[in-house]
Amino acid sequence: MAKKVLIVEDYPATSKMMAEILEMEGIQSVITPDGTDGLEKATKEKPDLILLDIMLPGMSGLDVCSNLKSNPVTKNIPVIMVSVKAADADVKNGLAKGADGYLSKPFDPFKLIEVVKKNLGM
Amino acid sequence: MQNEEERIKLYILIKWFVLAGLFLFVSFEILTGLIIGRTMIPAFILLALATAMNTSIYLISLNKRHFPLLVRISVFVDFIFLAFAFYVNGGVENTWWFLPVFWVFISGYLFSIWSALFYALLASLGLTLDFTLEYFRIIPHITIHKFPLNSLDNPGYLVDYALGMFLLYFIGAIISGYFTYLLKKTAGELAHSLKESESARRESETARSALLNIMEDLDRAKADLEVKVRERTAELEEAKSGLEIKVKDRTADLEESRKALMHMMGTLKEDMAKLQVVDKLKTEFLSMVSHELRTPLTPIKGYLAIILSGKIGELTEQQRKTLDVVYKQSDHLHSLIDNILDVARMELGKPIPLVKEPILVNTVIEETMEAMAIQAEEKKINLHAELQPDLPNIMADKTKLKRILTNLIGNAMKFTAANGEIVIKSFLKGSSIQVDVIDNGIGLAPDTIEKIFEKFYQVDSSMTRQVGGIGMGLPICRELVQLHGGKLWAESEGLGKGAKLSFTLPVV
Repeated sequence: MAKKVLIVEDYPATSKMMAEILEMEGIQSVITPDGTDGLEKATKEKPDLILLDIMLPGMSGLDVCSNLKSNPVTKNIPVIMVSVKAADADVKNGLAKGADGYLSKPFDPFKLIEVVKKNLGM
Repeated sequence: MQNEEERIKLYILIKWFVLAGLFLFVSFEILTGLIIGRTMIPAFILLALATAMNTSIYLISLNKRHFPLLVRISVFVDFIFLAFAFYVNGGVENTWWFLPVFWVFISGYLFSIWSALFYALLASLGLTLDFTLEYFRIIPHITIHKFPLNSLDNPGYLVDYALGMFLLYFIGAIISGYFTYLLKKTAGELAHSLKESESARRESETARSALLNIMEDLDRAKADLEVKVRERTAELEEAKSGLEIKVKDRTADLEESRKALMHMMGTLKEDMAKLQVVDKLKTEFLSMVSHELRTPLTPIKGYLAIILSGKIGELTEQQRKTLDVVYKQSDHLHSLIDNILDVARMELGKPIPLVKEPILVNTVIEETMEAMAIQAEEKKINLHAELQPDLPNIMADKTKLKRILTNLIGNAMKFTAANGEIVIKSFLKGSSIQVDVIDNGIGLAPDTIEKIFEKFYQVDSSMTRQVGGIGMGLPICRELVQLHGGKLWAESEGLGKGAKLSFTLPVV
């Protein structure tokens, strides 16, 4: 069964690219540009992994992350924060909210694959 | 007491009066027939002659030195005349032989006791001579009385008479002299005391005038002082009013200056507030721009990487080379954006986060050089390294260290002409690892060695267009090195002599 990744990213070109990269590895993707919608999709779609941007319209990625981690349904889904906020504090914040990994933009596509695969246990 | 001249004048006058009185009395005797008148005439003539001689001598002697002596001699001569007049006028028969006592008195009074005694002696001698000569009939006796006293033949009478007269003259002389002496003494004492009182008076007068002088001096000094005080007071008053005016003027000036300054300060404060707002906006803008630029950069770099990986189709050699350039340029764009973000952080006073991990400096250098090799090749620059092997691991942020190296090497390439050379050296120095980036490019003027670390500093405006850059690289590098606890500096022997940029990273 193919793995499914939820991409919460408001910049279409980036989210599309991420989906295509994962496609190359045979990983399915669900994309949403909105934090609130992301939370909803996380419960509905039951993804195996979530790639979460921090700067999102509506709800911040960090809030989305803490919501996911406090929800028993979603709390076991690995969350990888993907952000241009390549700052120590952001990484710490993200990890404190329960994120499982961190990727700073712009990222190397192969790094993305590596991180995702690692968290999916592939 | 009168002076001698006046005394002699008086003496002569008295003689004339006595003579006149005698003449009147004798004339009365002759008229009444008491005495024979004819013999009287030559006697009077003689006496008048003697007195006249006295007078003339006196008049001649006036104002002459030997005046008293001449007069005394004249008095002596005078007596001879008198004695002769007595002889002519009866001799022993004459009853006026007492008359010389007046002369004795007068001379005693006028001159001195010695003069009186001398006169008395002369009178006595004259009388004795006359009596003696007449008695012994040596000279003839001249009878003057109608009834002559037969005294000539009576020696006892003559001696008595002579002795009486003798005593009369001398006692007269002594009395006269003594009185004169007493008078003189009293007068002397009086004069002396007068003199003394006069000198005392004079002294007191002197003292008084001295006191007056002193008082006058004091008065004058006081007046002078008063004038001076008035003058000085006036001067001070003037100076004071001058000062007051000056102070007023200066106060007004200062007030004006103060107002101007306050106004300026107000303006400056406003400007500063505006500037602060603008500065904050700028920083926020930089931060935002950096984020916004990075967002599209993510798919650009990502897709380029995918294409270059060949996973979505094989590329021709030409395509690969072209896309490689695009990728490198997007990489450069990425580092520029990162620089801007770091500047924004520095400006905001936010810490630039470091993700430290154990790294090998030489590995990072090699990776960076590899990334820049194509660029060096294009510019025909000989980029090579002299790395000390077996350098210890250090804790550092790999991304930041790469950025530092990229900046330094990129800078060196900017300012090094084609066929130039860039050497990267690494070595252990004390407890730090030092990295040198040495080029043989345009070098640095001594006054620009520190300026290159200032934000937005450009070596030369004409150079800027040629080499590009916004003047942020080196300031950020220095900041990043310092964040690692190291130092970054530049060395150059001058323009055209190349440059060496070095930094240290503590081992710990």
